[in-house]
Amino acid sequence: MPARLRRAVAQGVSLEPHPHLSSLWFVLRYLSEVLPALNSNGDLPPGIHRANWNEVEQRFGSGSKARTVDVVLIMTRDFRIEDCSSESRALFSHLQAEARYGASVFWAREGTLPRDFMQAWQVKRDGSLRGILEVG
Amino acid sequence: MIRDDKELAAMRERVATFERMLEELRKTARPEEWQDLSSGYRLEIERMQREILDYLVRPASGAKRASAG
Repeated sequence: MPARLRRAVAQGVSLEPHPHLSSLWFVLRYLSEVLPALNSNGDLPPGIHRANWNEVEQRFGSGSKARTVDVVLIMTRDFRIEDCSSESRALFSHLQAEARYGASVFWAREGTLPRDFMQAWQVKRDGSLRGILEVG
Repeated sequence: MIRDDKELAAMRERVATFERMLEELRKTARPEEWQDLSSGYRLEIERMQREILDYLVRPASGAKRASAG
């Protein structure tokens, strides 16, 4: 978990699921320890690995190297960005989220996802595959 | 950073994938949210395109210098 995001949590920003959050994926890179074991490139094995919030907090909440994180928020069909509090709204603006939390946040609404949406997140820039983490 | 032509091809495919995502998402996105929703995908595409150009403007490793005659 990036240091700024960790500090935000320490200051009271909740990582509990938003009522309109359908599911969420972390695309984690350069981790020092995750489950299952990382491969030699420091990635999760290809595939979608499920975890709950406690596991994420235990694994990534502290004590590991700084890293870059892509977060993909899948919101429910009735989600309306204009109903968000100003603090939550920052999560849905890529630049604001990056500046405030040090994470690259992407989002979409369930039922509108392209067919290969989750497959695309498993392809690294060099074309090889990595695993991603589904939190729910 | 792209290291060789194989990674160049992979990066181009990834750009195309993200462009397809944007194309699909814009069909159903509400106008008032589209700027926020699209911003991340746009930035990612721009980063990848920059990496492609950075690679293409570097001399090819196997290229020979033109001789002066």
